[in-house]
Amino acid sequence: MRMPEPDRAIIARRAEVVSGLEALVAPGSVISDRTGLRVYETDGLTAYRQVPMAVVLPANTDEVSTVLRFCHDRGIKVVPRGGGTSLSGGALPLADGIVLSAAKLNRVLEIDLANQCAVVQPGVTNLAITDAVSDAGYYYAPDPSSQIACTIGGNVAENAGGVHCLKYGLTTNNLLGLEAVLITGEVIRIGGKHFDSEAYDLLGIITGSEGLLCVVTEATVRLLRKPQAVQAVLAAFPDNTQAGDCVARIIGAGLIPAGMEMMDGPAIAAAEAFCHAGYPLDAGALLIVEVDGSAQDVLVGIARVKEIATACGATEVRASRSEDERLVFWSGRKNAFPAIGRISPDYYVMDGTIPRRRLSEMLRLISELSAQSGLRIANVFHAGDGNLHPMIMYDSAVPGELERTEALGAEILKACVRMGGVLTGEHGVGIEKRDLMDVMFDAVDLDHQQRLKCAFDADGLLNPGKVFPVLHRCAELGRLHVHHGQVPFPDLPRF
Amino acid sequence: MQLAEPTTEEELCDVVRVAVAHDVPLDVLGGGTKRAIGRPTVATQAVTTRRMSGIIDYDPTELVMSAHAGTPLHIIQTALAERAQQFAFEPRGLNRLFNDAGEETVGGVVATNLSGPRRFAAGAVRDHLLGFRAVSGRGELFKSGGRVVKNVTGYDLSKLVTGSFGTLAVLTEVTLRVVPRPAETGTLVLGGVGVDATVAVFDAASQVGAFTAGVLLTSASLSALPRLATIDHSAVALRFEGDAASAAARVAAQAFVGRYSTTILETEESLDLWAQIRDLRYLAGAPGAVWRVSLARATVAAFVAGLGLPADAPLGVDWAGGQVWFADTGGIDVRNVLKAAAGPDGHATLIRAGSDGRPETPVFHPQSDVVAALSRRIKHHFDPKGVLNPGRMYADI
Ligand SMILES: Cc1cc2nc3c(=O)[nH]c(=O)nc-3n(C[C@H](O)[C@H](O)[C@H](O)COP(=O)(O)OP(=O)(O)OC[C@H]3O[C@@H](n4cnc5c(N)ncnc54)[C@H](O)[C@@H]3O)c2cc1C
Repeated sequence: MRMPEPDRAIIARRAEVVSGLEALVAPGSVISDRTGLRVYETDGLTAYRQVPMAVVLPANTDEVSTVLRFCHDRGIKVVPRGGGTSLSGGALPLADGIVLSAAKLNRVLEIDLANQCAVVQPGVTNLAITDAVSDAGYYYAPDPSSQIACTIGGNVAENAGGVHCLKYGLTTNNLLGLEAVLITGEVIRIGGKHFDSEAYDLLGIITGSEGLLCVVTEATVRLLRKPQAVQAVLAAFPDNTQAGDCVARIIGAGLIPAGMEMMDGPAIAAAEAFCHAGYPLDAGALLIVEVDGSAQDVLVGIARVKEIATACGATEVRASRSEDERLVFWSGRKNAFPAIGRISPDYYVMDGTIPRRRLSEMLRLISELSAQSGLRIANVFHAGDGNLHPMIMYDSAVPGELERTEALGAEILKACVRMGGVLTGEHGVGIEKRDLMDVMFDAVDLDHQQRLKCAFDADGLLNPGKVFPVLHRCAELGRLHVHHGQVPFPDLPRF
Repeated sequence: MQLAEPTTEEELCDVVRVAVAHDVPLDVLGGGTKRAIGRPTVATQAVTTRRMSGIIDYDPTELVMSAHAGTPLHIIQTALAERAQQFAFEPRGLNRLFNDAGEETVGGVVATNLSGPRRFAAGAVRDHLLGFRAVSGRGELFKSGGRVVKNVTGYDLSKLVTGSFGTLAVLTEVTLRVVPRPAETGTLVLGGVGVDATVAVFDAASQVGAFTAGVLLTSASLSALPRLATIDHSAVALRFEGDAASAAARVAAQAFVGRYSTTILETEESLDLWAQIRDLRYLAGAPGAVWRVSLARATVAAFVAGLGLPADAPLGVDWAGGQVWFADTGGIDVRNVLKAAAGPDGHATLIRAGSDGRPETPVFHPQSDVVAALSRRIKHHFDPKGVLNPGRMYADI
């Protein structure tokens, strides 16, 4: 993966940049020493590392604004950063840029239960929101497996999902308002405690924009009342095909479970060894299906799920008998990534989405590709919405193995697109899938996306090198190719 | 005004390109049923998508529907109903409100983002558009999103086009998420709930069951709805859906016995009632300007009180407190009332202008200078010559 050529002239001015930044923020809020910078050299995609020129940790919106204006005036690139858990390299620093960290913007500003929302700073972790409102009977629905560490700012930037987004949606569906700072230092407020925007849905386009459009400095998120009842079913199947079939039949029966997750044999083994969740080790595939709602809804829903699973050939079907047991069911799934980390020196998490009906076909293809490449793959999926997370196990100490892993990953993602799916379901494009964007989009599509970037950040200073394979200059994109000499308007046949 | 009726994306590209080359601003239409919403445009020609019609791909097990933008909504809804599915966002049909016999298209549903009573529980149109194809004001065909529910590949332009009222691009194809239809629908009507108590009633009801629609209607609104015309106070209607919806409505009723009169409607009657509420039947016969206000739910009572409407004015509080619809004949300064009640947490749209034609009042809620400038830059990048519905939303948008 190649990053844009660093600007030597900017790097040469590093000392001046650092002292300039120091003058703008509270003492101790700029990191510029070698050891300090190393902490920020990578994110959840650890295969790539780059030390930035400096890291700045603003403590309020004004500081974010002055820092951005400073960078804008001097043409300095800025990489926003939250918890640094991105799996697509979204927070990877640039040699000629600074990192703007949300670490000091970590306060829950307001809990407004009357309006069923919370207002938080971007550095607040995902789980901290639920923790803050749990006693009152509320929670924040999107629950990425990284929820202890990832921040709401990073969730907004990546439009993060979780195991419950089948029923409750991704970040974008649970966000009401934002305050954000443009690269010029201008502060925008969008939405609030109410639904939907007055005109263009800027909230919607900033969500999932991977730090390329603006820096989020405050988020207003929806809180939901905890469901009256919740129960999960664990169903073991001899192989993936039967489990995939069961997923299709549950949806086909008109059920929308709160979550529906699938793991294959290797993932089950790794998770069981790590968490002792009680998963049957002889199973070829495992489904966890959660149903929530009123006591009655749950009773009926769980009975239907058990019935369908049995009809699909499940060898074991167990419903959780207590809240503790339900959490144990989930523990293995939620820790699947670190569990793989224990059995392989390195692993690479993929994130494609396919139409549900092609699940078993995809799994067959993945195992063929795995056999061909000689790299082991374990699979976990958000099966309910067709979102795959194949985990390719490799050893970065073996020369060439990372490259082979990336090539294998690219093959899997291309297959996702071929099957009518997409390159990324929730982890973002970042640097990781940047060069695959043209598998899904043609030049005109990408130009239209980049025009949005131009409206926010005409100089391309926010998080460059991410998402787009080729960065066009905004002046070039703005040019309109007018087709003169055509039929005069009124003669056009269809007018 | 002449009307272009392209039948293919290529023809539509030609139409827009010619418009660009000759500086001809276009009115962008589906079925034209919501054409009256917005500022008057300076368009001299029009283009409609209605000859680009038909379902492209509907796979019930994937819960996804793709259709050409000009497909009449009822054709899609019929196809969905045959498989016991529906759009969760309940698009509002405004034929009656505008006294218009046109046929709404699915493209128009997306372009206007007018979501019905289930919005607070299941999301707006913007939450259900998975992908689209469109021709921008540059005369170029582009696509975004996909046909799967979970997708973060590239910017989420689906959000940008939803509710953009045809000012950025002409949609040619949309892919929307669909959901199973509930087996049963039950409604609990609580007679005698005033606006002051509305949010408290919604909160109390949510303790006993999850409802998927909660609306307060004033007595003038009730009298326009045949099923509820006999209730002579304002009332709250709560909708329950699922395997045992009617039972859930009855259980919820217990929590209010002695305080309010309770009426239960079974599935058939409920479906009928909620379709009328969705389509604002209670405002259709009312004279004056029709407003839609989105606001922080806890501020709704203060807002409605601040309006000082006459007792016989029709008004509905929808979205379990988050949205207010009403008709105004008295020239109320709605935005100032909203600001006093909800501060920055709300916005008001003038959906139907009063009888005096289009008034001076801005149709869409005024934005801060920075946000307005940003919106203008977006418009400029997608439609540099301003040929698509120019000025429909704001002066330059
Ligand atoms: C073990 C593990 C499990 C995971 N599970 C899931 C999962 O279930 N679902 C899921 O969706 N993801 C998952 N992820 C991926 C990751 O946690 C999410 O993408 C998360 O949203 C990133 O948040 P962060 O705070 O760590 O952001 P970072 O990694 O710091 O940054 C991510 C991106 O957001 C930008 N950004 C950060 N903060 C801001 C801000 N304030 N303003 C503007 N841009 C900003 C950055 O520039 C970068 O592009 C997982 C990751 C790990 C390591």
